[in-house]
Amino acid sequence: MSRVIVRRGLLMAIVLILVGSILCAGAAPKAYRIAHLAPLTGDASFQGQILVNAAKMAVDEINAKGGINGVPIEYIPVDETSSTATGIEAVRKAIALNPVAVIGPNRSGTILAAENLWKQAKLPFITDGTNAETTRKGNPYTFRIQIPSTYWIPILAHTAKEYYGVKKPAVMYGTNEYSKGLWDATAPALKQYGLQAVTVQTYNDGDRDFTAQLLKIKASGADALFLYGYEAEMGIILRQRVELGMKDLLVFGERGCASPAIEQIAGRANIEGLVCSTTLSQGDPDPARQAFIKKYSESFKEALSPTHVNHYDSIYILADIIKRVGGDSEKIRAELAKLDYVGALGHYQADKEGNLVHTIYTQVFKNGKWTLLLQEDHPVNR
Amino acid sequence: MLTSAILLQLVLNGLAMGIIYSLPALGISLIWNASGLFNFAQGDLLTLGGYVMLSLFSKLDLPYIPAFAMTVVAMGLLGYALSQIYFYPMLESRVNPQIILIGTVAFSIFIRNLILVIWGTTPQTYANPFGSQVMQIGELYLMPHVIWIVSIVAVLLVALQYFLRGTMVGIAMRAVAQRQTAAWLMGIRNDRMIALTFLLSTGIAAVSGVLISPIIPLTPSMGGMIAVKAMAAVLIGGLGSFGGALVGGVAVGIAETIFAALVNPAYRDIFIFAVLVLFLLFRPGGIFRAQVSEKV
Repeated sequence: MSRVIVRRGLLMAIVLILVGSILCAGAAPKAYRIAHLAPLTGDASFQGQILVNAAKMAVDEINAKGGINGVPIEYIPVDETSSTATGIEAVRKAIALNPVAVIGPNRSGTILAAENLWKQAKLPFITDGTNAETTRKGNPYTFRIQIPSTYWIPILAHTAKEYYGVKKPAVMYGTNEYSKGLWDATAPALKQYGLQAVTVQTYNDGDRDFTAQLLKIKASGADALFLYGYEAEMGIILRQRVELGMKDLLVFGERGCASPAIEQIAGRANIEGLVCSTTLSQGDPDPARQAFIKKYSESFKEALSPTHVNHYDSIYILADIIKRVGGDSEKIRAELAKLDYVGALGHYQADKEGNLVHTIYTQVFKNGKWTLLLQEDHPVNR
Repeated sequence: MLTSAILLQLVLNGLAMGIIYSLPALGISLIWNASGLFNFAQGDLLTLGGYVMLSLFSKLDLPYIPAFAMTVVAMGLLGYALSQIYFYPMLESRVNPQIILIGTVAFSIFIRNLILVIWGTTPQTYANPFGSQVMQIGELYLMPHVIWIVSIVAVLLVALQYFLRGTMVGIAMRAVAQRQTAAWLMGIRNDRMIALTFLLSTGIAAVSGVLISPIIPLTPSMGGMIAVKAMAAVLIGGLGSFGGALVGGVAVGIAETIFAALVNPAYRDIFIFAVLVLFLLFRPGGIFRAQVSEKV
């Protein structure tokens, strides 16, 4: 008798397990997990918070509308930190979370040091380092929601020459991967427009006095300055330029220079005439982008920085792909590699290196506010 | 290329930067004078002072002078609390000074992250109360705040010098720094003296933070850079000497600016710390050789 009961029990257990596994296999996952590596502590932390805000805004919008095919996105920000050494550990942590895809890292140094980790894990990473080398490592899992400096700087050189009649440009950049990458693209871009840098100055991140460099630029007789770096340093440089009686020196920058932090540090009066090419223009009259700017400004206490909001679209790009192919990382990778997507902030196309190239906006700070000067889509090298 | 006007401007701006190092250097020298300790959180207390001022002056819209005074008082009280909670109990139980030092490193990290949580991560600044219009003298350009800060540092220096050498309380403070037991036996309340030292030095850090933050934007980690340079200024000028703190700061500021212009700005910090190493090797007392054992 007791044997029969045991047998029946076993049978029932087996049936339950079978039914259970069939149900599980058929059902959709509970959530699509996306990890986001952003520098939330340390020197670059002010960018990190904006990166996360923008992505979070998109996640909330998608989840409020019922998620992707009824499945919500589980969004986990991971602190990338502002150093490469601890950044690598953060990448390991993000991979260990077992997400379908990862956004970030943000710092070029960390990307270059850690890219092998996600190559081995076979996980697509939508990075946004600015150094072009990050996508030249032959890693099919590295994507970059950035425009290579080799596309970007010629636009700046072109604007300087054609719109402002610049003849003797000077260059000044910070000794970090990001700014060095921009400098590498600058000399050929200037040459393309018949210009040559009259002096090239460098500075270290964390420097707070730029008298030496600015006075050498003054001595060189330059009429314009191509300035590359992070917000704190660029803000002080722009202010010190005026404090050294060099107000007439035109300044051209990209991405970071349209950040509100620069406006605050340099002082509004000291950035009049600053020309900046960015991923979003605060002065863009387009209603979709104005709606985005309005919603962002109302949602967060950190001021919107045009450089760091593209991950709003990164989330929508991933959601669009997951909707079509599901949560398989390999399929997501394949779709990212042939991306052609129109998002709220721009038009994104993947090139053969994995760069998700998008629209570039050039704007000028005129009469106390940013005004859109040019809007360009780049021909993509597939 | 580099005309004499430009060279002079370099020296002038080096001086302006050097004065910024001198301010926290004074605080470091004071703590050394009065307790024989180093406080690695000194730079971060400076940052905190700047942020408190940001809230009072820029966010709450208080007038400059009252906001400044409130910041200094609030920070002074924090310094007092710190000495009661941490420094005095540690000194009293005769903990190894190196261990007390490591505790200040922890405190420094704590302040940075506290600032990060309260004030956020974006670099912030407020309007320069001394005017943002540059003054032109011939071919030279000078910001009005440089003159103001030089004057304030000079006043602080004279006042501190008088306080420590000329008043009973100051002498008592120095006595505690040299030998606690002997001072105790002479009827000096060690705990009060150490509390006073930290109250004063944190107040000076707050003054530095308030004066510096319109020039150098506030970021949670800004104090680290300034403190390291101030530390170099103190050691080059002469540990424990207030004149040394001033001269050391200005020397560091001018030397690094000239070096950046004539050699390479990328090696500016390396140059300063190489000079520091040379000083430690060949003139460990600094420019103003402070007497280590004097009778008080």
